Amino acid sequence: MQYFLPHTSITDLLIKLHAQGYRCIGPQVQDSCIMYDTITEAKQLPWGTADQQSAGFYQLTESNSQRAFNWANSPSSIKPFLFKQQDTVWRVQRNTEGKISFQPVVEYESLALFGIRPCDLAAMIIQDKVFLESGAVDPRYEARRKALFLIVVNCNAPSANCFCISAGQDVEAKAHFDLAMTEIDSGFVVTGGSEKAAKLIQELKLESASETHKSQAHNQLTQARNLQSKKLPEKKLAQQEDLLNHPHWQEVAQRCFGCGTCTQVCPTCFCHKQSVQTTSDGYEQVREWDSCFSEKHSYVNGAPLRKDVKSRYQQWLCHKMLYWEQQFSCEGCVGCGRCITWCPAQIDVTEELSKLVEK
Amino acid sequence: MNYQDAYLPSEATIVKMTRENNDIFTLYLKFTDPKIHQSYHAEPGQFIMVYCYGVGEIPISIVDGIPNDKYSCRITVHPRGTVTKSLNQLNVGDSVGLRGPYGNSWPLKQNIGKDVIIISGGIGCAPTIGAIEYIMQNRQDYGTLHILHGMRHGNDLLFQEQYQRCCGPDHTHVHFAAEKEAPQDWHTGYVTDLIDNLTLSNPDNTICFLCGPEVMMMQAAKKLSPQLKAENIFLSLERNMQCGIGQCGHCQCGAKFVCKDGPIFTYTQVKHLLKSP
Repeated sequence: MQYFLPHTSITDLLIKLHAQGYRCIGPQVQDSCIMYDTITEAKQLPWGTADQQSAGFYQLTESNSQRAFNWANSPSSIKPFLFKQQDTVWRVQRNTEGKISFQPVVEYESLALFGIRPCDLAAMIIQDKVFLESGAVDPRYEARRKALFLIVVNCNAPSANCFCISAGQDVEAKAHFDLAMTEIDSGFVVTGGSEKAAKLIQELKLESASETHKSQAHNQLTQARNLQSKKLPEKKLAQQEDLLNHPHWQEVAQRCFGCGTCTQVCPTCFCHKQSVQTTSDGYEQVREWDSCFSEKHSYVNGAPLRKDVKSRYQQWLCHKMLYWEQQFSCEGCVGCGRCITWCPAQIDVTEELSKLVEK
Repeated sequence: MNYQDAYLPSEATIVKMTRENNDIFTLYLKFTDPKIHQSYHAEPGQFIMVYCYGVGEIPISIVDGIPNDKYSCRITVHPRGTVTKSLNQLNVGDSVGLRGPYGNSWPLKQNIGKDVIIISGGIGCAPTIGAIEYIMQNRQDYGTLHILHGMRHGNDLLFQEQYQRCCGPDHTHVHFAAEKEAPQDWHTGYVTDLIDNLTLSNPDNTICFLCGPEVMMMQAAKKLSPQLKAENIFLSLERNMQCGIGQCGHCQCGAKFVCKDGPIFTYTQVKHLLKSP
């Protein structure tokens, strides 16, 4: 069953979610980028805004339509809402007898993520495998994950860097959401994906989507699929013989700055380090995102195991495109294209992969 | 042990501390919570995460974790980094944080009836001591035991008592090598040189455990592999392990997380990922 949510009802939706105890997060223009932040009314959305992306390039432009979702994706995925860039894991105190006691820290709030993209939803399902399904549960990730209300807006406007279809994903979310919406000129065609969503649809008294609405939405998604020209090579890294000794690693290492930006914008990267920080009455263990491009990432016995950019680029790409499948039984890349857009050296992962699978 | 929060340590007290030589020391640690102490069980070859108050947390291999009333686990430490140097400043009665044990263990129960070669270098002997003690306690379950241990200096020998116990029984051979000032009955040079003199009566039925610098392990594996099957040679790897549960990403070696898929791997599994000597 599909419903129709007029653009004029978005604020109602946000108010209803707020009344249910959620802080609503939605896309908005900040610092010349589309960013996810607290949202209370529809006018905060990036109406009439499009994004232009290419290797090492991102720019917001005026869109030829007045819609709110005429852009591909934002620099930051929804990853920071679950797996925080910096997060206190536990606190420790020592009493006068010298005894120490540890207290876990699990901070979370109920968040309604409005207007997330299908690629970011797919990336969250991949991170679930790391933090919830790999044998040990991270209680911080788990608490935040359980407190989410997920509203995905299907993708009408893939950028030139998007390759989600060839990465095995799609412009349309098929599962794992509370609400999935496809934007058309007058509003959204809405599908409920959970009991809480069904209740919300009822409260909002949404009408059924008309056949015209539905076919408009359907045609747009077909068009969006056809817009994606970027592709991963058909041949997988696993099929390449003697991959680690391929001469192209040296070639790409000469262009790569080793800055790790690709890992910071990637919605699936999960590496993190821990450090000790002082508090007023003891210490806390803080975890922060790390990058396989950092020198300390592979430190053992006082020296990095991966000493040069070549070995670090190799680790990053092989992890994402080869080892991930063996570790988590899924792909490590959703094809969002962020690593291409934000690479200051304009390195295009799909082009490098094509070279690496050549004989 | 099944913690609710996999990242949260529990308090343990230093119940005994011994000096192995000028640098290296051993801590006997006991969980303060009797329930945790009772349920704690580690297998030879596993490691534990040790937190030093206000300094940090590091992985340390367990020498033994055989259940007993006195302590939960024993670790032997070479103070080289910030945390290990801080541990060196602690005294009996002081508290640390522990979580674990983590990782897999030496495949002892799976290889009953086989001859065993144990080769270690430097402080790499610590994770093998538990395996040696297990074999000595279950001597009838295994064939010939060869222990080859190498160190830099003739004075560097640790665990003398444990090695001494292996010197008596039949079919048990202990050989030491030191690069400098080796005592008379030792070999002067590398531990891997000792492999040349090894007589294996039944190579198809022999397993080998390796622990020490990677170059030493690879050299040993290379020397042994014409005789031993690659899947019967086991290496204990050392990597940057910060979480112990395969979530922080630092310890990856190919597709393996050394902390949870290892630290012990067969030569077949890691041969192509490590530098050949």
